[in-house]
Amino acid sequence: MPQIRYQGSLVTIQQPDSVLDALENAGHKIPYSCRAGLCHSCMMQSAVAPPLSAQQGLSSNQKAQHFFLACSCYPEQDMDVNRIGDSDQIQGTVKSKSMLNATVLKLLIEVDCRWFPGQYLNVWKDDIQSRSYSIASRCDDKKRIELHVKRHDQGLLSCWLHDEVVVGQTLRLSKPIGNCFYTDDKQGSSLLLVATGTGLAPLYGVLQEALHQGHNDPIYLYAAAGDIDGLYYREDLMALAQQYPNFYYCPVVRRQESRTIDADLVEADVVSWVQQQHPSLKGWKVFLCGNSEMIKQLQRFCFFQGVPVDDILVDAFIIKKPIDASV
Amino acid sequence: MSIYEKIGGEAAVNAAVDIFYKKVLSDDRISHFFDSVDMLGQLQKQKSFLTMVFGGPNAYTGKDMRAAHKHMNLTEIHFGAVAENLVGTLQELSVPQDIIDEIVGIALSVKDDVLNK
Repeated sequence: MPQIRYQGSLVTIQQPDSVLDALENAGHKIPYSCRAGLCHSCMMQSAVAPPLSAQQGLSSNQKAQHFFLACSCYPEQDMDVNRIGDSDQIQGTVKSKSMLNATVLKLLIEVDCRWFPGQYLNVWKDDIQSRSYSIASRCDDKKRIELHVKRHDQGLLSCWLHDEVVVGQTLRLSKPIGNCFYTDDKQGSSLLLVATGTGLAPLYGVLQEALHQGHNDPIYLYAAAGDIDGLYYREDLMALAQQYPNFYYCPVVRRQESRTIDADLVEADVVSWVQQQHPSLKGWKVFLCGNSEMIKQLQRFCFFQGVPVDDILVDAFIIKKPIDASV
Repeated sequence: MSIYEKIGGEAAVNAAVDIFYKKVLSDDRISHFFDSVDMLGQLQKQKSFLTMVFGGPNAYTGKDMRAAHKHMNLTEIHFGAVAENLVGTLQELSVPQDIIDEIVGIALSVKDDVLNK
């Protein structure tokens, strides 16, 4: 009989029990609701590919991460399973630090794990303080995670990463998590990518993966910032647009300074600009990363223009306020 | 045969949820309850709701319904708006009136729990 390993203990599955039944019988508390494969409350993650029948109704991005529904999982082989979110900490070594513009630091960290570019991980300063950063690099043999860290004046983690962390230092990280990444079922569709600020990090990763996998259909990347100084990777992205005729790079700024009128730059609000440029999005796949208000407005727009919710992948940034000791 | 099976099971829920979600997002009386950045999570909740009112497999209890809605300060207006959008969705999908009546019956059976009465 197959066994499942969960939180360090081994549970044997008696027929006709599901993984959910077996874990509950062994005294574990797993969230559930419908027990019929519909509500996704009991979704878990497996180390190896789970039975296909336990992944019915999940998105391709969830399947790629070996997510499955415990209530509908009847394994024939042993499985290592986890609740989603409680993954172990890993370590990474800082390989380089460089500035992408006046406030955004590019950090390369060598790790020993796999990831999908566009996922995010938590960086821990100590036992209490951590922040999430998205991954801009592909997972290749070098195993280097690229993060873009914007300095916030009161930002505990960002100031620490900018000012104190040095090359060669070991960092505590979570394993990469999140659904915002490219999978090969996106081939054959046009892609709309919209980023504000360092929302460009995950989308730079998504773009590289799509191009690497030979995505032939149009890819539009809108990178937005308050003004021209907030943009970065412009030369790289313009070079990619030259190299790949199906890739369109569209930098958008809220205000353009008169001294530097730039023909390639659009001066507009990115939400209305994208709405204007893409009146119909049927059959498109959409990635939205950055400011949560932009994401709310555009995902609603895309949904109403005919994109199923499953085909709109988002990574919403939330700026944590530091704890004010005087209160 | 349950209504859920009669109208086509999970496929019916999938067809209905898109229409239903667009309706509630466009309804000023209730759109703010559904206007979250986690659209996928919202969609999943609505699938569960539609599965329940279609008489499909679910393990909702009155207690769950009460707990889930308790802090939302819902009124008859909100409940009525959801019911209207539900009926509109079913009509758009050409569900026969007697089945719509049955579905509305199931929705009404949880009304007191949802409104915390």
